Amino acid sequence: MSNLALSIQTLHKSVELNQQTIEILSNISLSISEGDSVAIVGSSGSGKSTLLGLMAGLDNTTSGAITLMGNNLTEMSEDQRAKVRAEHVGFVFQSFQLLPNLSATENVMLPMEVLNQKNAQSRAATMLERVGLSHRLTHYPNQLSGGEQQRVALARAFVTQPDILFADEPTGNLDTKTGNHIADLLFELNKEVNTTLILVTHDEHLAKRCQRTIRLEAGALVTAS
Amino acid sequence: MTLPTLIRLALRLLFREWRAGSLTVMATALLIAITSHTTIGFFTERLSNAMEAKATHLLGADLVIKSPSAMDSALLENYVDEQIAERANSNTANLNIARTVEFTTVAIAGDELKLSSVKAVSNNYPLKGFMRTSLTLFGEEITTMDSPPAGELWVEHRVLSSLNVDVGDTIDIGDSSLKVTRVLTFEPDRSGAFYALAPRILMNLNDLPKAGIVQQGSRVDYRYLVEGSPADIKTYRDWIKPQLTPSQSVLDIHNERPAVSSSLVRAESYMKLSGLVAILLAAVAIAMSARLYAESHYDTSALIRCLGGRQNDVLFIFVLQLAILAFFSGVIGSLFGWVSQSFIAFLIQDMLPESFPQASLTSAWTGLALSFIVLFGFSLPTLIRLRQVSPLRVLRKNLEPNSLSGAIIYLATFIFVSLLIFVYTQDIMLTTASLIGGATIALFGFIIVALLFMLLNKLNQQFPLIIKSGIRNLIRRKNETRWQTLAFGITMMAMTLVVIIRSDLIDTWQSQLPEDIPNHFVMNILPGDVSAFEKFLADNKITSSNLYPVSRGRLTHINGIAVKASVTKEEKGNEALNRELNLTEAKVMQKDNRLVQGSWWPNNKISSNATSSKAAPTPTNPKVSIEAKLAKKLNINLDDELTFFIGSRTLKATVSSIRTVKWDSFKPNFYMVFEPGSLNSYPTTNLTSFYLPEQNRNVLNAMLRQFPAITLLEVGAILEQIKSILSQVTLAVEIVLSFVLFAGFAVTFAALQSTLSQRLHEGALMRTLGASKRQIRINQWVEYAMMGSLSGLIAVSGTEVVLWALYTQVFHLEFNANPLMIVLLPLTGALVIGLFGVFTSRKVLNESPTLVLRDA
Repeated sequence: MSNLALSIQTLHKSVELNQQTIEILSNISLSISEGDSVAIVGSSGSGKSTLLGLMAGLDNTTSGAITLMGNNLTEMSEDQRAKVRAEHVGFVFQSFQLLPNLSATENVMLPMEVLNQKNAQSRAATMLERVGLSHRLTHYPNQLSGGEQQRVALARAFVTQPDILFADEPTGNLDTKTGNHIADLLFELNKEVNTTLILVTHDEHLAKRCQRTIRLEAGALVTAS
Repeated sequence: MTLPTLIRLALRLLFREWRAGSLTVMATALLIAITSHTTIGFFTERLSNAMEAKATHLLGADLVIKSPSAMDSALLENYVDEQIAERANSNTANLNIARTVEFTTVAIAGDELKLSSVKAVSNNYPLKGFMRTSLTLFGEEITTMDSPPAGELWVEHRVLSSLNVDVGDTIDIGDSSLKVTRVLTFEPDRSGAFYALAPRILMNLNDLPKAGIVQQGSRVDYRYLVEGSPADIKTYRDWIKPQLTPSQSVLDIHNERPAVSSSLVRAESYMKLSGLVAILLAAVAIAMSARLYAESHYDTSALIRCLGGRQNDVLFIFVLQLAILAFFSGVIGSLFGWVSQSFIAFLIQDMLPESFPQASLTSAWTGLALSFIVLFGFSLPTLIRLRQVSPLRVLRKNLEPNSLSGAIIYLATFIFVSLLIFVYTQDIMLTTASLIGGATIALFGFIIVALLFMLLNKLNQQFPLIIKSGIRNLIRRKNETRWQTLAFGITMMAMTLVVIIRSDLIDTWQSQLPEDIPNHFVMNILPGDVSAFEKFLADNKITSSNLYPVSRGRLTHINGIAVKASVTKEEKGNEALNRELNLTEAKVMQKDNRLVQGSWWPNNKISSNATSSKAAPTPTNPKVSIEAKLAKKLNINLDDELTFFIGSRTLKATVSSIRTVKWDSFKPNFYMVFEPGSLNSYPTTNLTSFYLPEQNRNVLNAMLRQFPAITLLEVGAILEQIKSILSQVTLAVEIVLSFVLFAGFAVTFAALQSTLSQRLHEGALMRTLGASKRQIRINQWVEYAMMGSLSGLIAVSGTEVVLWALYTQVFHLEFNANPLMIVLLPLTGALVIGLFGVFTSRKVLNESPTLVLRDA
């Protein structure tokens, strides 16, 4: 049996708003093995992005436990969770999240610099070449199209060969054709690097490319196939 | 992340930010602040040193020690200062000391005698300033820094005419016969002797022992004139002062030349104030742009945190960026300051003294420190928020970091502002006053802005459609626009204050020195010569002030108690108790005296001519009016009885009024003024002052020939020096004003920039929805002009309040309200902010809506 990349036990997440308690997620329990690719689907407002944020250690739970690559995130401070993210996690975002004042190469170098890894520049260049942007190494995000920016983001996400990759609507801001190319690239890289992929999407076609689908409705798990 | 990584990342981001122009406003505002500070600092240091140098010429030295007896030379010369002891065994090696000994004695030539004021001077006299002499009586004047050699005398014209001798003849001073070689026409430090009865004879100090005049118990005035660097003079003064006896005193420019001193003090106060205003304005600009900078980096912070950076890593990156910015702005600002003050000095070189010393690097160091203080002080409270940015923001863009408690932010800002003001002014009183004033203004300003916005909202429905939309935009953005309006209002207030104070100060100074201010004083006009003198003046069309009868007398008792027993220990050394005063009588109070207690005597029974006050009957219970500051020091009140010793007789008088005197005018002023007739039975001479143009100078020769007993003092030279000092100060003040204006523009620009991205987005949306460029431009004009008007109203209220406080409490001048401002400032605000706003928002109309919306 493969090791668990991520394990969630009876997770609750609520927020206080105008003196009311709003339940965002309730009683979520699931496990994801290393190497799995999982799609989290649901309608808008179902809690997908909240679940993603909690799984990645970007937010605190109200109750319950989350273990990522053997680290109990719920017992960690923010800086400790940051360290776990640096060592194990990669991200791809809907809005690309590139730093506008860094070039494509410099954006890809960022996670390696956080980990103080050597040869960051050459590895970044290699990764950008892999995603087909060898001719755009010194260009800035505002000089790239949406698809090109997302490819830079993919390069950044995979350059440190993370154990887990979280992708939040990676094709959400792209047209269908570009989105498909990005999706292809995402799954290719995932296979090459053998990461665990956790993908939030409302795109059913994209979800079908994953091995498993987790469906959320109104903050609760409906199916986990 | 490791330190080298953080530094690399910080530098890389900083470089990119700079290239993208994100730091331009902040850097520019900081540069203006530091350039302003250093330019003013360097220039005023140079000007202050130069003015003090010129002013010390009038004193004859940087420091004068006055003593009724010869001082121990060991005391003078061998003082030890721990800080400078290593420089020389004798620390006075850094100081020059000249000596003078002054006394009255009878000068004899043949059968003629003349009581004269003799001053024996050391070879290095004068240390500062110059004398004027001529080789013949009424001959051409020569400026000289020499002193009479041993065996020689330089004498006033009156000595020659009284003793019936000429240049080249000998005069006996005590047991010595000395040769007259020059006529003395101007002596730099002849202040105390303004009203001396006796004419001046200058001799060499080495001749004094042989003359045998100065014996134990002789009434002699010993002066030790000290010259050195400001630091050495200060050290020396601090060392010697505690060692002086009560009858000895230290004189400097401030207590010996009040006219120059008060002008210098006012000028420095003004420059400090203006410089501070420029810096505070720039700080406001920095605060606004720092806020924008921080907000634009929330995403960066979130991403770095998401990728594994710690909270302090994020803070470090931005703090390091600011530190680098502060350092370079400090250095470049100081360089700019040095260059600009040199340029200013070059432009006005004709007006500057021949010796215009270079400034020290003090302002450069303070400029660098100020750069850090201002940048961090006004951006740190916002920057700290970057540390609090949640990494979840990468998924939820609307997540804003928690801000520090408002109280902490305000406290931190308050501390920084206090530090800034104190570092700049080095004056606790001014710091406290500024803080209280500033906090009050900000608070009231904020309240007024909120009220004005509420009023505008209510009234908006009444406005025409074309205006309504612009005003609606203003109100809709009220979180930002309220702060902008307050910032503009405070900026306009600061600039208005600076302009008004400058104009009023200069007018006040200039009014003290009108063109025809008396430039000659005449004393010792004998009673019998009064009519003839008045006729002489009339015949030569010379207008003079009143002729004042003057008797020399000493105050001996207050309410029957000897003065030294009546006064406090500190006042025992008061000059007024230790020398004869000039006592006069007058029918009417001088125009620039002001009665503070009691009343002046009725004058309807006395003739209009003051000199014929001898015709006034001798009052049985004479009344006297005393100068207010002296009355306070000696604890003299209304109805107190004062006793004076005049000649060999006493005069008792009751204090009937207390008045203030403008000692720094150039007119005869008196501590004691008696009612007419009081001095009838006492020996008096008369004094007056008049203005004589340079081209009529030959009248003086005729005057001296006709009235050989008079003492004529040509104060024109002193006046010219003071006028030139004041004109330099005026110019410096105007230069300072320009920095305040630049800083004001920086605030305006920063404030407008802070909402630019929002406006760009809105403008793009509006144009996409069909609004024309014209419609958007009109909206912009209305919005900015209305903001400017509201700012103007805030400026009006703040300016009047601050002016009242400054004029009455700091500058001690009369305050008059300015009703014109209530119209002028809102109009000016509307125009300036309107123009600036529309200009800075031109991108809203020029940028492609597609690009703007895509980038958003």
